Amino acid sequence: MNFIFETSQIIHSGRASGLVILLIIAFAAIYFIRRGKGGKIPSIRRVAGLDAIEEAIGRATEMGRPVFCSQGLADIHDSTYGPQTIAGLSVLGYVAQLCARYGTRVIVPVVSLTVYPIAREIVENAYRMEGKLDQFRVEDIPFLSTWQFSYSLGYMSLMRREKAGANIMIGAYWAESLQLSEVGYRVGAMQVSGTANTHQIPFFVVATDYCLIGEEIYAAGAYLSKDPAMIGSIVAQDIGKIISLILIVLGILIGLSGSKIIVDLLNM
Amino acid sequence: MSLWDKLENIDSRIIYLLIWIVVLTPLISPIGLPVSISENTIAYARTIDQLPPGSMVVLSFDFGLGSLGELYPIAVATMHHLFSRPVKFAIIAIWNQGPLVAKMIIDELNPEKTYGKKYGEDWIFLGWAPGGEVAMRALGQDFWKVFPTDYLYKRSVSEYPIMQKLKSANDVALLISIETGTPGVDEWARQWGPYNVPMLIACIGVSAPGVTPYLQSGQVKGLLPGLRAGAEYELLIGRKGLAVASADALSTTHMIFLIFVVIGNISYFAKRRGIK
Amino acid sequence: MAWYKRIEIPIAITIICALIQIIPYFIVMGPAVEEFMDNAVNWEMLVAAGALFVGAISLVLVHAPRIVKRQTHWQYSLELLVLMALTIIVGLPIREIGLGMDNAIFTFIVDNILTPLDSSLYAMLAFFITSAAYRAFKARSLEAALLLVAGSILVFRNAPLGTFLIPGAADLGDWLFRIPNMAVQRAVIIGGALGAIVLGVRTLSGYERGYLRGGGV
Repeated sequence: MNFIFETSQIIHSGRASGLVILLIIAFAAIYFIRRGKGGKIPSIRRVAGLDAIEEAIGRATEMGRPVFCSQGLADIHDSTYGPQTIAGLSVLGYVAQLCARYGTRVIVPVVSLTVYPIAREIVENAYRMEGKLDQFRVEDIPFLSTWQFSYSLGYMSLMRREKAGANIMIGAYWAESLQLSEVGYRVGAMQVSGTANTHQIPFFVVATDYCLIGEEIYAAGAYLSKDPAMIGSIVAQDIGKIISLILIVLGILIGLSGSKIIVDLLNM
Repeated sequence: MSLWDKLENIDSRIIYLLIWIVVLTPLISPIGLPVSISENTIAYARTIDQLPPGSMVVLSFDFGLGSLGELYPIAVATMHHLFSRPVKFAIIAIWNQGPLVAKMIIDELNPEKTYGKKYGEDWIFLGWAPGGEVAMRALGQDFWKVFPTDYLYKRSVSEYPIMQKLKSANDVALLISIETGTPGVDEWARQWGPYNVPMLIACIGVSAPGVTPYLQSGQVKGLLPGLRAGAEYELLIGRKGLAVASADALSTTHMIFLIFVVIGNISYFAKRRGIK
Repeated sequence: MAWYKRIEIPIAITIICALIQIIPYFIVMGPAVEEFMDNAVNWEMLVAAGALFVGAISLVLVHAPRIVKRQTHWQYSLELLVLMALTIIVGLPIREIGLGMDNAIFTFIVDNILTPLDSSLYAMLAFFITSAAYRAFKARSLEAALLLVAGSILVFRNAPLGTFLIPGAADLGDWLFRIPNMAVQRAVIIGGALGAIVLGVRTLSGYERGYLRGGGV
């Protein structure tokens, strides 16, 4: 077909359908962001885990114990897992601001050198915004190690020594997820977790009080900010899911008839 | 405190002690429980067996020292299987500790003496490619650029006959990745998928569910998920090793796990129903 | 505020770098751009290798002041730096003076310190998963009961004793693995990818500032 021949000279072979879907979702995100800015705020369901963060911080404040907040093991520049770290940093901004407001210590164990200066600035800025810069302690943002289990051991030791009152873990986690959750439970911390790493979700579900699954962590920054424009962007995720569902159902129905048109379309 | 309260709140130290006992006892005194062999393991072994003579295989060590317990036996068995076949293979690592593990296995197997395989002709050890997924992409395009020298002797790869047959992913008949997490199968599928190189994956048990979409799509031809699969593989290729030796400990640990779960549930329901 | 502290600068850098990666992935832009992208790949590999040195330097910057100021547990910081220096020195690839990964001290450190420590920390998971499951794997609701049953079937499937006692566990476990598990994996992967795309759009449009100075919330 002429159209396909000409398209492949502009667009890399096998990537056209991906580009179309990406553009649809991107434009949907921009559209709903603008709608949100215009005051048309979509209603989204409550995410129990995100609502529980304030409760966890409040509980830690009452007990006089620090709040731990971490963003996982991924570097921010990692193409696959970096977005989870960014999501975790968005939550850190919210957590740090609440902790500064309530006068609660927030400890941010860091594993990545690229994340360390960002985390430090986020926390410092939060204290500054609350007018409590004198209470900011740079020692409460310890860079532990770039090694997975060294970081985990350092984190566990810190939680035991400081007697964590709350432990908020949102980001990309691997095997250390269960270790951190279990020690958090043992010291009596209220725990909110979230990751898009499917192999760790079961451990978080079992061992923490609240768990955000997969895409919920990407909505965290928007959800916690309560910014209408940001909340609008969450709707775009659902648009993408609707497109996926339509393609799946069509693919099943058309595939049962023996036609491969959907597969060929997605392979374009 | 009622019996059910006690059962629902068993001290974790008792749990840890019991686990320690049930892991250690079968290792010291094996029971010899039978191990049935699954389709995935058969597919893994068959894929290697069916490689035409002279095929080029890339064996990637994508795990570190922490996963030795689960993946070392599988890695030993895989390398033994490859050395026993008339294929050529290159050992690489995407994890920085991968070469350390590979070196342990090479020293254990002693390929030249045991199998008559010549370094540089039948196999080569290229070492660690830094960069994770970026390295996988670079390897797909040009092995020589990523590995200008080999790992063992630090000589230019152009001096080795085997490397004349390995320039890019297009020359690879099979990719075997022994992995524990990230980077792993997702990254390999993304970067080497366009080259249509079939893959075999050996991974820790917890990563196995994430590999199933690739199994179903046919990108992954065989999967060894965890130590039990390692035991199956050792039995299949006729080389009993650490995995078979650990199979009994695997059984007892799983059973004690279930026993504790049952105790927790019984006490929970008994308390809920007010049984005294 | 000084011009170089303006938040628009890192946002602009983020947007430019992201578009440099995204556009050539989809649009054919000619051999010059393809070569630039290939070089970018090589540069990324170099940076990743260089990050190892940054890690070592950062550890020195963190722990040296603790030793100098005799802060709490400064002895452990000293131990860390001494071992790090020793491992680096003996592991330097200079075979002519007996250094390198064949060095007896390096081999000793790997075989008798790194390997057992790493393996032991990983092995702790066996204890933790049992105590966590004992505490949390209770059939409090229908969903929890389904999770419990599915988990139990797979435990039987994975244990040689399990498939010996209940031969059907192997087939049932394989079915759970191949069908419901795979469907859910795909759903979570699709959902996660969509979330990442929208996060990317928010970042590129400058709305997502949580990774900058916490100005997004």
